[in-house]
Amino acid sequence: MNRDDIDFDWAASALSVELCDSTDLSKLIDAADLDPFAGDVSDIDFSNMDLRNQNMSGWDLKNASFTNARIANANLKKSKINPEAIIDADDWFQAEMDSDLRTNAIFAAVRRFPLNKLEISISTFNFINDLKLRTIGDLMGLNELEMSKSKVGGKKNILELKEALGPFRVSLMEDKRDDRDSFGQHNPDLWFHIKSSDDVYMAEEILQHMEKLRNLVQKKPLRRRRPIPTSDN
Amino acid sequence: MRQQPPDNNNPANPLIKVAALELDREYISVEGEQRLKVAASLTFQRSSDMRGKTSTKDGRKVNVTFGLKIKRASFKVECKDDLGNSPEGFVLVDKVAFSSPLVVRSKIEDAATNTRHTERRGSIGGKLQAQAGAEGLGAGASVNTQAQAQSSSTQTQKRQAKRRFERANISATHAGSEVYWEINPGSPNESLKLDDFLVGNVFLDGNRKAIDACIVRRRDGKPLADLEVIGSVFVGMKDLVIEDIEFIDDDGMEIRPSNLSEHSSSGFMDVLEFKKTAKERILKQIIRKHLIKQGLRVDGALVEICRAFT
Repeated sequence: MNRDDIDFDWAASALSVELCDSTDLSKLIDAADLDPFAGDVSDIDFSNMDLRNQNMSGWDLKNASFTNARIANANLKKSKINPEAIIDADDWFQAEMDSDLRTNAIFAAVRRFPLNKLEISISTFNFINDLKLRTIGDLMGLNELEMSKSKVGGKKNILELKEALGPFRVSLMEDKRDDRDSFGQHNPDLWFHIKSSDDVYMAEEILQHMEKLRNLVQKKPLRRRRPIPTSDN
Repeated sequence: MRQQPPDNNNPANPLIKVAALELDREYISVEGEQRLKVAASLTFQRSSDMRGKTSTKDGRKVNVTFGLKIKRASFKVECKDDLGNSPEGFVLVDKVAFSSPLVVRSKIEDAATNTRHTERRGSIGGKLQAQAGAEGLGAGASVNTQAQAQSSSTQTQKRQAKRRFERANISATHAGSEVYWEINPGSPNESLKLDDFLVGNVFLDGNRKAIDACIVRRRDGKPLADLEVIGSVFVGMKDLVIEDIEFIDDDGMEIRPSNLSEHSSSGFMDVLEFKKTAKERILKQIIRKHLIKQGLRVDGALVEICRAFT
């Protein structure tokens, strides 16, 4: 350990921040003698903070917490951020960020999206409740065989789920793993999977679809998503 | 932890006032095999007077004071051999404190609580019968005395339920030669509150009696004395709460930024709120950097706040 390392004076840094009369976060961090690019604020707690219009470009924020923070128009380009953490911010989709972070954040938001907010029938709603599935993420890696164990639903509900999950780019796909049984027979295993894509426009469409469903649920006082089909129909 | 410059009286570890850790070892023999009992004393408290000293550019001496408390922490104990390696597979950790996650343990005891209830009753009754005839004195009298002694023995079987409260706010997981304890505030009967914080000694049972952290066995035939047990307490920045930061000079005057009033009055409160929050969060990062410079470790999103060896 060299002398410079030892000489970091926390009290002097704290005083320097206190005397810095700025609302610019980068200036406050600079006053504190912290290097945001080298990881000095990698686990900073931004929860409940108003960070709109702040410039955090290139910062190492890989373990930072953004719970209920407001980050609209904040510059997060080239920053190291956990996509799972950034979606905790209220308006994360309005922040400026790299396209791969944005796409990963959208898929993280898809995984966390509650299944009961999908446009599904009461029967399918009961089906997912019976399987104790809460979010789209709970479906990941679940195959048709496991889903058909439910006593209150079956293939019809799985088909409806597939249809409702289409706009999220979540689909049933064949497992590519080598799962040959003892007789050498290949058993295709269908499981839910998010189609990965670098297409930013596609990601934006998913985001819009999620917002649409959220607003739909907020407006509807009843849990029923779709009228129960009658024999007349 | 010890490289504090002699001309600087700021504490090398400002967190030493809120978390203190001591480890101790004792060798015991179980079924002829030597084992190592690890005792830990891990105490948390809230400090309302963290203190450091510095000076402004114009030479005024300033005391930095703030309150500090910890909302949640994790405690890790690991074993290293004399070469500093983790002896995977050769070291087993047993009897880990708080390894049971149960909130309440109910125990119903039958056999131990059979109570023998013996009842003895005695009664003596007297019956005097007198008969008088017309013929005179011929009288017949009979006295019948009845003495009755009754003795009965009944066996009542009672079920006695014992309820023992476990500390559900602490849970442990262990694998190989490492043990992790997750320590949350609150007692088993209370739900967590947002303003809760850690206080008191961790390694106590429900009767406030000290308990051992764990027992270590070594299976590679090497002496347990060569084994170093290292304990570290880790905290996430979100769980470190800093409050009431004050900068006071030697005359007792509070030091503030000079031109706070330049902001528009409409957003003044927002600006003040932002600055207050931002400065608190940045102060935590300052302390984190200081701890890292002092040689403490970072484990993902957690930073080590104290360490002990035995």
